[in-house]
Amino acid sequence: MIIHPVLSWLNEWWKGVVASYGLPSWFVPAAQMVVHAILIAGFIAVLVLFLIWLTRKVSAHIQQRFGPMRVGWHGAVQTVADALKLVQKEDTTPRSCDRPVFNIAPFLAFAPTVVAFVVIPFGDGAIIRDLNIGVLFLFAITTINVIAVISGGWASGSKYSLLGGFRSAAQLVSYEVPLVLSALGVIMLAGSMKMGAIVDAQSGIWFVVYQPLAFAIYVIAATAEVNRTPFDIPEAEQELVAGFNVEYSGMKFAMFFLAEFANMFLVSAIAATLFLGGWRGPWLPGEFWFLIKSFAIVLLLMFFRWTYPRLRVDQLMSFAWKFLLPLAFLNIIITGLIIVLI
Amino acid sequence: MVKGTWWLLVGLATTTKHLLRRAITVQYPKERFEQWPRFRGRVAMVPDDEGGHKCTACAQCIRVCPAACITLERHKEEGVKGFVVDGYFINLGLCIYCGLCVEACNFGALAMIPEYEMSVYDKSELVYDITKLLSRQLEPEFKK
Amino acid sequence: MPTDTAIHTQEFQVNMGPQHPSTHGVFRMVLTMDGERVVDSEPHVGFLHRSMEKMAENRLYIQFLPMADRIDYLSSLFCAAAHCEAVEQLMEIEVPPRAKYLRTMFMELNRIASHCIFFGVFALDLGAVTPFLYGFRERELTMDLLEMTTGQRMTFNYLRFGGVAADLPDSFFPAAEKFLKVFPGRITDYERILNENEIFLARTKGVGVVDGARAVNYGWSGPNLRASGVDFDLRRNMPYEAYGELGYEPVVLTRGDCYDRYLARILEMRASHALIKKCLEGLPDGPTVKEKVPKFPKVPAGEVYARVESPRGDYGLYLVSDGADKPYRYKLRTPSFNNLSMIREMLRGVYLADIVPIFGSLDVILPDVDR
Repeated sequence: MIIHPVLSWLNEWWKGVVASYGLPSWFVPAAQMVVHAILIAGFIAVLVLFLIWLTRKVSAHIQQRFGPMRVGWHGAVQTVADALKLVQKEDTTPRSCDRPVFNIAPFLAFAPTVVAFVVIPFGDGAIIRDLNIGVLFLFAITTINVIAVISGGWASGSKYSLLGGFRSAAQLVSYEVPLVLSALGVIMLAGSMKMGAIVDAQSGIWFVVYQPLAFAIYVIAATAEVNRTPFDIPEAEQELVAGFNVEYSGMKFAMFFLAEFANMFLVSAIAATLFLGGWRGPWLPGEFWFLIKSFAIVLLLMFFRWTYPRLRVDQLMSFAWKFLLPLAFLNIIITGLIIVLI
Repeated sequence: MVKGTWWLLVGLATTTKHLLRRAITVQYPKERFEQWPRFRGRVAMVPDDEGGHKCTACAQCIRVCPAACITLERHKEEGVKGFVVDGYFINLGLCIYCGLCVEACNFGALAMIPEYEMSVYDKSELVYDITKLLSRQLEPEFKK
Repeated sequence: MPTDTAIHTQEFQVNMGPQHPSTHGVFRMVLTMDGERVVDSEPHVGFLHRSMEKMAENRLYIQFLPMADRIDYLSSLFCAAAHCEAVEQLMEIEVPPRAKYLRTMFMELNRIASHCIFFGVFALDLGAVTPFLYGFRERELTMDLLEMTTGQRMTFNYLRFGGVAADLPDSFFPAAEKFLKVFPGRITDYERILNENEIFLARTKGVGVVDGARAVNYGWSGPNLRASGVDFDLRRNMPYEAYGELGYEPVVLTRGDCYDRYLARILEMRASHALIKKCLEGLPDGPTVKEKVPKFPKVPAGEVYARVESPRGDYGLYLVSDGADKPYRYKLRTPSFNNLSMIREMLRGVYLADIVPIFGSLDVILPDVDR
């Protein structure tokens, strides 16, 4: 309700400028792409800043303490200070590393998340590109994360990072399967993979009412996909091997960190779109409802992190393959039966 | 499985309950907790009516100190009963704040006061002589 | 060494070094791993050795009392109690009843404080960050009570030969009432977060099982032993201080895995709470210290073994005196040392990720191991 009209108006104005100055016609889509890219990048930057602050405050108040209080009002500028600190750190590179891969891996972790925001509906008509294969595109893009993790672990040149990278990759790949299968139930109900169509199909009742099991499976698998407790073996300090990002420092580490938070918001946004009705809601503009629902899921993930202990690696894998996967299949079968019979 | 899910949710509920409670920590440099009267902060000398010290150089405190942090310089003077104190130093860097010296003193010359902010840049500044032992820090503001 | 599978694998050694977030103190373990499983482990202790026993030989009995607090600083009243009891037994000093009750009450408070740390640190090792702070919040309550009375929050220097150093201040009773009222609800909170949590159960049930006979053979004591089914608690079997009058039934569980060791300590917190209530209600009047006990005693020649039930287990002091004012031999039998001795056996064949709960559930404090 807000974004789409504004952007359309801007588009029309720019078309008029191009026509009146006689510029080549590809200026229009080019400008469109630039504006979209800046918007997405800006949104993610501000979002991550806010999310990190929110995480620290929520965790602090759960633990009955204050969290950051001194930098800005109740610590609001704390994340900026942390980012500045990370920027000015020395960029250490281990001698035995694989230099090109070492330099690319953090950005390989961050780029897919940015790209995936292209198909997220922020509001009514406010999708950059409403692809026909929207959901498939999303899951395919987020799988590139696995490559980033393995290359981060391999390129560090240390056996502990490699082990951590392997473990993390195994976890990511295993939890992809229930993740996609749980979304399949929603696709069957909506009849399409277009994100816009899925949101429209929820104009009556949200899909979480029809698919509670799929929602639960999706949330659990999404927590594992973003490496958060109870599935955060890759970044656990208490375990012996410290994970694939142990050798990174400074801006590269900041990239991994940013990627994790952006990813967390991404899976929450997908959950909000697939199960909670996207941007639909009474009397507030759609963008607000979208943000409220996404942040609700983000808060749920945060509560998971601060309440539950961590699963062991083999328990994690057996949980995915022996428990979540059969449940996801069961969900698909039941959904299919209900669709056919009713 | 149902029981497991129930207890997972109960755990979340407990955490949420704590989210809504007031924080119990204080913002340290601006606010402080008030100490209990018996709190063993640093060792200090008790001033007598004229503001001097009450030490009679009996050296019982030195005898009992586990950390050997007290140094006493004394001499005998003609016509004065007992010793005369020349210098009395406590090295607060070695002190373990146990309070045995306070108990050992028969003349009530020592006390433990609730002062705990004694950071210095040089260790030698932690050796307090009689003047410093008699002095007290200005009262900071407390938050109960 | 290649194993005899088709794929060539090799065991490798991993150092769980002196600085590690999960070893509670400076403790080094060299693990020989085959994939994810531990084949063998070699513990290295001694990083925290402060030669307490030797220092005791060069200090007067009263001088060593604050240092006895620091042998195991999380249960400092127990170490001081062993010291005082040994001297009192050799000098045949009778402690007045009020002092006995005060000692018992504060020792149980100290036990609660130590178990709160165990609870917090155990949860933290497993990844749940929040219970750590809840445990410390409860510890603040107990430390407040102790600070009001003794003047310090951790190494109290409260016991004296023949009694305690000071009586309860007036501010103690309302604060103690509040603590007694609030504390069981807090324990229920902890139990709600962790006790039945699926993930927690998966990590700790069936992990590190030790049966009673083996535990006794290795010299275990304390909640570790009682979780393996052996019904032995010094407070009931060999009562000292006021435990004889108050009566105490120990908490005994049967399975002997990490979960039982954790549960034993949670239930012991409840039992301690009940004991403190009894102590406070039945507090006799009278002097808090025996009169005419010399401050610098010359302990008659002889030897005595004084035992207390500390939160880690059976803390014993074997004191040999030759009639001087300093001990001749001050031998400490610390519970963590014996509890830790089975670590090599326990770690055979477990997953790497299981080392942390096993080690955490033993509640080992490294200054207690190394003295």
